[in-house]
Amino acid sequence: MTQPQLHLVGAPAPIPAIELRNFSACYGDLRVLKDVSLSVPARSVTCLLGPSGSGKSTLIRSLNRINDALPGFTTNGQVDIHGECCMTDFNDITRLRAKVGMVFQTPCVFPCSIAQNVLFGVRNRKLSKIEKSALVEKSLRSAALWQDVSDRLDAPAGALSVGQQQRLCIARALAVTPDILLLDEPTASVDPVSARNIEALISELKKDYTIVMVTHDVRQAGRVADHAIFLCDGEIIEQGTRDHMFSKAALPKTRTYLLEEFCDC
Amino acid sequence: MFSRTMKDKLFTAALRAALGLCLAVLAVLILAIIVAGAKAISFEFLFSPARDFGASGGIIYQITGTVLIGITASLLVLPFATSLAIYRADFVKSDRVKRMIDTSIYSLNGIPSIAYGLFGLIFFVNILGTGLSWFVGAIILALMMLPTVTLCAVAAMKSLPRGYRENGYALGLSRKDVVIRITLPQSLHGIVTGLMLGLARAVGETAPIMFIATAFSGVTLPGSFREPVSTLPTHILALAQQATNPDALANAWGASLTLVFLVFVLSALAFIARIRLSPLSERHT
Repeated sequence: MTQPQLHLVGAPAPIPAIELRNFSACYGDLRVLKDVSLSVPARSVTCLLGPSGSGKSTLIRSLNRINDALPGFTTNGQVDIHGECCMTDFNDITRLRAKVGMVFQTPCVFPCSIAQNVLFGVRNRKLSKIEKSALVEKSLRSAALWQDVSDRLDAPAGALSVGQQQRLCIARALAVTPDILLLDEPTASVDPVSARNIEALISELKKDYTIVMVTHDVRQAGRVADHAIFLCDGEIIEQGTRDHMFSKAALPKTRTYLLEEFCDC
Repeated sequence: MFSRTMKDKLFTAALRAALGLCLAVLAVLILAIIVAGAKAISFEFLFSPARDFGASGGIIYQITGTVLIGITASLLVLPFATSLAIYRADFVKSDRVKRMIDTSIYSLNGIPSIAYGLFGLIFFVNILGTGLSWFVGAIILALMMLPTVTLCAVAAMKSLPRGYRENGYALGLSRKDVVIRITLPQSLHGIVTGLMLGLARAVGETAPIMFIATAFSGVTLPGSFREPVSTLPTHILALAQQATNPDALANAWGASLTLVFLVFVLSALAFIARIRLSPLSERHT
């Protein structure tokens, strides 16, 4: 087994929000992540890049253990979230997911109002009507959606455009007040204008949240990422700051993928 | 040989013929029941008790017996069918176990109704010594309804987009919360439809209840759980056995029309409930 080559160049040593050590994941007998080790700095955007089937989605879905429900899915190794082991220290998995929010590729709003969607994850918290309204406004403002929907909070969420629905999904995740936000190809299902809006939103959100994002769009990673991790065939080929990864100093494989979106591994 | 257009037309015509045949059989059947049954229907027939083993008098206690057994069976089956469907949808990971559950439900659906009746007779009447009891009849009918209601609930839960549950879990909802706030409300229409379909079948059944829950004459409203009732299907059976008596036969048609009407009302209720429940299924806070 070849060890992943770690090239973390040009960055100060930030406190890692997420740290993986020798992490492997399997679907039945198929090993999709092989001894992955990485660290994600807090309050920054880290992009996971790589061709289809490289293990990006499996990696991001392991960080809040959403894959636990899949039959035959097993993991090995250490995943720390702010120093707490994600596999053993979170007996109550809902506490982990409250800390690590996630937004998926396809926006999925629940068939209820916009406000009810935002509050969907906090229903078990005892909040007054005023607190609820404040939370709805704060979350929608954070997701840059408040101006679009402030006059129709009781309207069905399904009536929003796909791009707005995706921002609503982000607002819904933010309402739970996570520290970390996982975004699994958040712009893959939306039009280019909405995608740019979401990119701008991501750049804004990194001031308060640690963002880990999967993207197929190399140029998008170039625009929003502070750090990038290049995965191929379940292994990390290279990780580092955006400036390093997109420079001539990057490994040839990384450069080939980032320039030509092609990978021969 | 036939051209492609001709083949297409022939195929469409065959499908239309099949549809026409089904509709024609249904229309003849309904028409026959209405024409023959309408002669017997009157206020007195519907709201007075039977006399002379049903040859004269009405069917009020058969109607109340049918409704009582039907509603009780529905109330009994609802929590079990819903729980089973939820367990299968949200708690079972293994595809093998899911297949086992499905096979069991389908097998239960394939058991002939007379076998349910015999099981009820042996287990409840003989072993537990319940005697003739409408409540035991309702339990047996609930068992018969279980596969239909469960399968409809399972189908509704299967058709839920995977993203709903996944987004729920990602928001930190527990499995219980996902069931209560996503799975159940979103599949309520399927559960109600299954319940009404099961009930429509159950109220028309004779075999499962005739040995254990019904008497053919002299019944009124039951005063306890351990009394028999008379139901429309068992009454029709009893009347059909007196087919040489034209009054009894006319009453059999009248009772049949009432039963068909009852099933129609249940189906209409299911339809209304389905529409009215959809907004409820969209309520979350």
